[in-house]
Amino acid sequence: MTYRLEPVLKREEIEGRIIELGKKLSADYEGKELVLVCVLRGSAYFTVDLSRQLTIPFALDFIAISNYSHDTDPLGIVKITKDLDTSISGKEVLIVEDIVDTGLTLNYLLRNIKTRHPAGLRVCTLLNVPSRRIVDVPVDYQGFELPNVFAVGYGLDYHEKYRNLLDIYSLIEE
Amino acid sequence: MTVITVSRQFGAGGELVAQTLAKKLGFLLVNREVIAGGLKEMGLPAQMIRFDERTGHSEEWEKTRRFYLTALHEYIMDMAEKESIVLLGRGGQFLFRNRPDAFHLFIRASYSQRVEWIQEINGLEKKAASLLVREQDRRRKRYIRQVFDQSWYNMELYDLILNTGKISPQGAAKIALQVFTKINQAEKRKIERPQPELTGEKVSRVSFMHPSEKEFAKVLDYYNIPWEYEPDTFPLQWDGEGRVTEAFSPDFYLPEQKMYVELTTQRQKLVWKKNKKMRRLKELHPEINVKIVYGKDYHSMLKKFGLDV
Repeated sequence: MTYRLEPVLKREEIEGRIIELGKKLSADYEGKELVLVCVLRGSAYFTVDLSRQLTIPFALDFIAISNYSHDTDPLGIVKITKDLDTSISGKEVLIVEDIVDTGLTLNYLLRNIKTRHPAGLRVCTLLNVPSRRIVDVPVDYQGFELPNVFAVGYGLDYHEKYRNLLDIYSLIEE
Repeated sequence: MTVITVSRQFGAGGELVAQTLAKKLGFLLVNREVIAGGLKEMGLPAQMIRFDERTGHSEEWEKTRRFYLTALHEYIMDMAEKESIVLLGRGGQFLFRNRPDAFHLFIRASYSQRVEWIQEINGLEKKAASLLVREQDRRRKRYIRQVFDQSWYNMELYDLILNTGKISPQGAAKIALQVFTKINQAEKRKIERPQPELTGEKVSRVSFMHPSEKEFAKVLDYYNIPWEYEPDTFPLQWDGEGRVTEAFSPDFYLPEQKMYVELTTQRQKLVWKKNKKMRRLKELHPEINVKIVYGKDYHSMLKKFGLDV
């Protein structure tokens, strides 16, 4: 199977939108104890760029969740492979995702983080693909809503490739 | 059948609560004895239960342990199919996590209260009792972490948590019984759909018509989303004699999301037919929530999960 890439979002568009998001977040979280929870790995790129646009103080933490793959044990379940290093109890948590599509990962994450009693819990995603949603999840801040494309670039990968592309592309089968 | 799991801190009187519940409800109490008996039936040495409670020493040990745990879990799940049970410990809260009608109870008490009770029951000095309680707490935490890779103290796992230090084990059993009975009654009334029981199914026990459905179910299992396969059929058209000429059976029902899911992985021509059925369904049943996962969506999902070849 061969693939080609079709541009979907240019770097300038992405940067511009991140600047807007940064302003909005700085206003909304003014005076609050904000913790950015970056969901490894794709989201790292977006999180770093987004955090640079914040004019308010914030803490940064990382979380990683196991991914389903074809060789997953049939009795296997999703779990946290790298947990947060700090306590988020009583803090304002903002989960930063690169993309929300099926909602399966985010659903699990939200359930898990809720049990730690943050003062607030919201979601910020660069890309939202609602047409692929299987489980309803709240999205409080989003960069762009995309139609049903397989997005790569700017942190998003396909079998580990393409994360370093500056633009976002749609991966299309030939 | 119905499942009640009783998870408990050591020394909190969880066993008494479980026994009372089982007796009052007429359910089978599944405790260590019953399990040992089951092992014997399966032709396994009763000492195998040791694998349940110790940590691994070698790869050989771990291998045998995994084998034992698989057999144990199969045994418990089989029993739960045949009769209603009260399962004491054994990670029941995880084994039946995907079963929406299972009731998960956690029995706890403060450390000092448990030490006091252990002293009384076992005739121990305070120091010995304290050591015992602490060691058992550690052991259980470790067991859950090792076997299920989860935190024992995750509140999301339990429907009711009771402090027997304040309520007493007998009081806790009474309360649990009341709550469980109330929930059961509510569940029975909630059933508007022609469905006998809300149970989460297991991929291994269902024969899927299409591999894409099986894959989808596996993904749902992985993310702890309960599902049912082809649970309902909706008649769409009738002939002059009132016989059903067309019907729609969505592939999945997700009880938590209260939504049906229909996978459509075929070509455009057939997708059109399905859309027509969907519209008809919406006309007849506007309250029903159905999501169609189109071929493209589905392939994207497969790509994302590394399932495409």
